[in-house]
Amino acid sequence: MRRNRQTAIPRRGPLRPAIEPIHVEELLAGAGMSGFLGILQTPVVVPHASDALAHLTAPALPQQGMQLFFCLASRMESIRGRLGQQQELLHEVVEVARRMSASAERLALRMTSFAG
Amino acid sequence: MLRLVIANQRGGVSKTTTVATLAHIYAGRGLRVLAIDADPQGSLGLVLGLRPARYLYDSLFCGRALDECVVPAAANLDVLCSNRDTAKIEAALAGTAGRQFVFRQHFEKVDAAYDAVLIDVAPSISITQTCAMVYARRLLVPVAMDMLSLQGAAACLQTASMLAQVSQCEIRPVALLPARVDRRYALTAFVLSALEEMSKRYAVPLLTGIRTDGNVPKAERARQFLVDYDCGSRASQDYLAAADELMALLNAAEQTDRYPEARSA
Repeated sequence: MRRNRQTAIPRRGPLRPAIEPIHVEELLAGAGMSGFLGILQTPVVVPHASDALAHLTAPALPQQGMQLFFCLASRMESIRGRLGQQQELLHEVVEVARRMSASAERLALRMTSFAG
Repeated sequence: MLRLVIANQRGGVSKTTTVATLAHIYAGRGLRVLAIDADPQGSLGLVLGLRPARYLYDSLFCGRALDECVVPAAANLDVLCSNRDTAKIEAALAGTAGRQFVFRQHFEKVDAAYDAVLIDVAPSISITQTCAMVYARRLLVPVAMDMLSLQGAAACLQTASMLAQVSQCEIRPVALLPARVDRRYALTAFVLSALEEMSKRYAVPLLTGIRTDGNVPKAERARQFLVDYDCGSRASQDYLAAADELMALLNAAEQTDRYPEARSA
């Protein structure tokens, strides 16, 4: 049988503790409040982690994933090859520029000796 | 030139809403504004309904000109959106010396077309966030009315202080912005009190709060700026007031940068 509002016993929730004021010191003492600039440090060598990882075997990639991986790897190789060629060309340009600069210096010396 | 990063190391504190609304308000006042989304979740583009062809990553690492990557979102307001590729920035820069200077190196060359740059960052300690802080050098910290947001704000202020020392540049927290303020909840009074304590401790001014308003999610759903959606809403009015206060603080900070003797006086 349903009780009406007037006769129903009021339900009370569990007694909750009063909210305490929040202080900055309390916030600063938290575990997440340090090591902010760890991301700017150079990678740290962790030998015990390497040892643990040495026993792991990587799960095989699914066939499609492997194909994608090899496709990307071959593209990377071709890009690397092109970069190498461009670097060689750049070295040649630098060499020509160096020779031209040396010739210009020699020419300037001759001109000053002629003028003298 | 006004550069400002809006950060808190906790999520759900109204960072994206704050960036979108402030950028829109300042653009409406005649400033040429660029809003940069540096969060891989790409929330800024989503809430504004933008569909860019290029993103932050393309601008930074694929040699794309900024003009090609930004999307006009309103008069005087361009947005550089973010996508999952932004997360690649972390991997690309890991181990690179001076990685915190990448935004500064990149954007200082191309941001001359704007009067103000506002950056939305991910709620985490990341290289992207440090890059944004070193570039903008001014920090606004929105804080929602809960303890985790407060801790995120404190973490943000600590990070800024440490980063300034490491990077040999001044990174100044300009203000704390209480967000989602609902005084009907008992905890709100405690959080506001803690914010006042934080404001005194770090000497960072506390802005007028932004009240909880159902129009904020509705505007996001409608892919509109809050002030366009309902200019008379509580949150719109609060953001307009906060924008005035913030501009005054930014101008004061600019003055003390130009005339350092004014700070000691």
